[in-house]
Amino acid sequence: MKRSLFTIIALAVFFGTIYSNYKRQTPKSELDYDSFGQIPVVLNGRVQPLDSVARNTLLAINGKSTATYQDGSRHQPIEWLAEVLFQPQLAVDRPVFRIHDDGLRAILPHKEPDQSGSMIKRMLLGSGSSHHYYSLNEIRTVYDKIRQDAVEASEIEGQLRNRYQNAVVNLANNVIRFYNLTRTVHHGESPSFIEELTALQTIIPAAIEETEKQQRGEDFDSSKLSPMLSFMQVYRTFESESLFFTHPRPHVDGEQTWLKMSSALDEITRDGKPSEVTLHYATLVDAYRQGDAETFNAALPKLHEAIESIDPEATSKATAERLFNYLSPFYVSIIGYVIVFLLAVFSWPFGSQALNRAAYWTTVAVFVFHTIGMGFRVYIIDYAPVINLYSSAIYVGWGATLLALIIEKLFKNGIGSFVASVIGIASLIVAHHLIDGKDTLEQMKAVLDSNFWLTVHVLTVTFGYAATFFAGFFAIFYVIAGITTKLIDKKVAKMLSSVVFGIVCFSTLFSFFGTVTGGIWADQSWGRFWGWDPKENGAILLVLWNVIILHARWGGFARTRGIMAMAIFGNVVTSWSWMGTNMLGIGLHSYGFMNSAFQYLAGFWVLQLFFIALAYLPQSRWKSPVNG
Amino acid sequence: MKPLLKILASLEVTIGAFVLAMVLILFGTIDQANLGIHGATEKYFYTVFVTQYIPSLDISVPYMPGGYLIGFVLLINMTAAIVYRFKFTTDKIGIWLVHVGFILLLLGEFISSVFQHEASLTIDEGQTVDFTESFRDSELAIVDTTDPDKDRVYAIPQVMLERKQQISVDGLPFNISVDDFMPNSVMQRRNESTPDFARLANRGIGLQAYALPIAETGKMNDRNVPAVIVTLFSKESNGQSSEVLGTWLVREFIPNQSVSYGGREYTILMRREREMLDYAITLKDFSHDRYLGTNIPKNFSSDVTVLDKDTGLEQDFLIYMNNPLRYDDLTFYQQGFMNDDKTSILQVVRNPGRSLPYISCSLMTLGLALQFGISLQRFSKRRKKAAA
Repeated sequence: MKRSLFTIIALAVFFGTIYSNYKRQTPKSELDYDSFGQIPVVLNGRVQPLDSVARNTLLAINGKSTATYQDGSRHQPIEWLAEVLFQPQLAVDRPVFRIHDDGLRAILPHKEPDQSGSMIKRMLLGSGSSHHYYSLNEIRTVYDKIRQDAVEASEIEGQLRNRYQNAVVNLANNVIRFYNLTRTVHHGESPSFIEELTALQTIIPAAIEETEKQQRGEDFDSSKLSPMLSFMQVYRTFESESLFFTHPRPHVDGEQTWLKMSSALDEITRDGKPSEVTLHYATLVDAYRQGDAETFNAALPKLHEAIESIDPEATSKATAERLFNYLSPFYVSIIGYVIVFLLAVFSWPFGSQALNRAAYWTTVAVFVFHTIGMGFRVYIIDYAPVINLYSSAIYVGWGATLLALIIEKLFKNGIGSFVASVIGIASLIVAHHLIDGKDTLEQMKAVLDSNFWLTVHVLTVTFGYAATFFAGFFAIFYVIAGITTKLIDKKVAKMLSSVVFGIVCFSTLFSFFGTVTGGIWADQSWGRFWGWDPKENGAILLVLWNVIILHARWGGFARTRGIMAMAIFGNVVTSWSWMGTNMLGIGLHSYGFMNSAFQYLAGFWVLQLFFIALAYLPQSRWKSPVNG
Repeated sequence: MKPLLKILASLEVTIGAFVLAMVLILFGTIDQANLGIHGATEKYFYTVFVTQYIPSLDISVPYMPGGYLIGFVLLINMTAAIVYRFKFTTDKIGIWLVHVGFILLLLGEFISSVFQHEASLTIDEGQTVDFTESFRDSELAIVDTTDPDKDRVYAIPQVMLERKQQISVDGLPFNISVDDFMPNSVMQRRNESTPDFARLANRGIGLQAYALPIAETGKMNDRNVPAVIVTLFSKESNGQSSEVLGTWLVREFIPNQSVSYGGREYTILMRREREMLDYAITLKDFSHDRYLGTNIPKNFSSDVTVLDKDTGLEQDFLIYMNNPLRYDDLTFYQQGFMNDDKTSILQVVRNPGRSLPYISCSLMTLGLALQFGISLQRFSKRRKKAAA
């Protein structure tokens, strides 16, 4: 029991984190936002729950995962979305548009930095950035200029735009997106959606009669026709402006054929009455506007049922994705890895096997949670786990943790857990920054749409990255621990060097096999095995570097220290292959272009070179004995 | 072992060559932003030395070993190592496989670099095409249109135009003198301020416009538009001089120009260099699916019929992403589309060394897996021993 005490505490803390994070996601409200967020719609070519629409949109507009209103109150994305969809008159005053660019702020109404809060807090944290957030109504006053500048800027290629131009294009897109949301469920031109439907139903039969007369070439009463036509007029503009599809339709040849609200309304003129889905949405709109929580909550299960009866798969995917959002497995995993990190670090000075054990079992738990997160993504989009740069970062962290667990199982000295936690934290934070306001569960462009090759090629080559990083971080551990502590005795040094060498072998195998399968994929789909594309070249660099390490050891050119230094340089090569090649913005693989992240990458390289330099400090500077 | 062989087979050479290869690949990748993939590949990889042209001295100075040289050194190094250094034992079989596979891989890439040929085929719905067009090179075509039923085409490839010489083509009653060749050009309107060098042309379009040479591009989405100035003169000379027909400016994207001579009608034009096929491809339908409510392409596909000119055999194929058509010695894959989804663009690749990478990579993967397995086994044995 005593042996396991730390393990039990650590696991309890981790599971407590999962639970409290989950609880935090539900807004405190009489309205059933959990169920509302679970409604499936189609946006970006895929079924997703309203909760995801809310999160991704808010993140793009606001840069944060919650919205802060005028009164300083914080709201979950789904609350904000409900207001935007159903009662835009209120939503246009919410200061949710984040504008960091000074030039852009200069043309907007001036805002004073928030002076509330204590003096000490302001001194410590600065005056905050509340004056960087604007509401649509505030932006509207100068929107003509913004639109004009955005149109001009959008004619310039993305890479060549300056800061202001990027900011203005971004803002214009966000304003359009916001406006489109307000026109997605209801056009807002009549106060009550249900009354509108009732009115439609009464005028339509007569109008249809007149239309038929008109078609037959008989005399017809145009006054009976015009009310319907004016509705259709409204629906037509509403069609092009609405953002997502609300009405499922039975699959045709396995293809999704959802309709937008406007098309569904248009169909009333044919069917004579609104569909179930339309009716329930209309109830939601009116109940929300009247603050009638009871009716609102009662309409939700009916709406779910109506959608499920037509497209059950959409319902189950949306449910899964809502759960995935609430669990936020990758965010929680970061916390888990931090726990592992602390446990591993403290296990050494105290020489504590119990802490060590706790670190190991917490790593196992975090790994399982990390895996569940990836499983959710695979289920939701039906693709292999790696489809873009974001998911590759998630996968690199996962792969490194898997290796660490194996190493830890073999050697039981906490180093494996430690390295897993460092790579886990780093890769998940990198992943978080790669989201960049986009939907990370995107649909695959036609050229990449092959699950077989995604699995065989992308998963292996990315696992090669993970393995190389793993060896590199082990080597960094060797250098730092060797210089600062007496931890690296002969036995540990031998263990570390055999682990690094073993992992380099492993990474050679994976990166080689991954590169080759990439070539085969290219040959199968484009008729050429190798095209000197930047990403292909990046992959071959990684293979070459691993091969050089292996030969240097076999030839006796590098001993423990040399191998460690070379393994650290492997981090540089891998980060180039993984991220750097995408920054060139050329070639067939520039699926994850980023221009702002280059400085971080360069910083990472400098840091690695610094570690390599440290590795070659004279022996007298090392606290641990060092050879080679 | 002789000292020279010892050096040739040494690990130092292996590592040195690999390091140089890494440097070369890194430079060759970064420079793609300027030169494009094709340009960078030619400059860095498919060359013995990477050279820099120094205009003031008018020479190209080599400053880095190119892909061919490094590959050749590695080839010698591996072969020498296999012959002289490796012992053939069962636990080394993985190493053997990896190195033999690597030699094949180098040879395969060399063969590809020399013989692989890429072109494109642009086809409208309902149209039938029996030729491919080069991506980069153009040709000067002189079409005899006298016979209303059948055109006779005389084509002069870009490499011949680049030499700016006099060209004599069998079957044409006149010779062609290439006065100027611009690898890439833009058109300008001709007026009073037009410089003299641009006033060479005295027939056709060249009277109203002239071409101005601009820097060549190697970018993927960009293409050079060469222009040529040619003077035509009769093959038969009466006494001292032969009759000069005139001087034309010819370039792609300008209206065709016609020449009459000896009772025959000719059209003179520049176009992308063509290669005739022994079969004709008809595009029945092109489709472009997008994900619902987005512009993200889900699939492009071309529904084609291939008619073999010799046998008269007709076959239907569907070409779509990740599913090219392999016919004869060519691979046609769906590359793009234009013209409001009514025109399909297929990329056409000929690669006689196609199977080599498969063989070599299988050998190497097998070898690596074997070797890795053997090491792992050794490691676990040692651990068991240490534990005991």
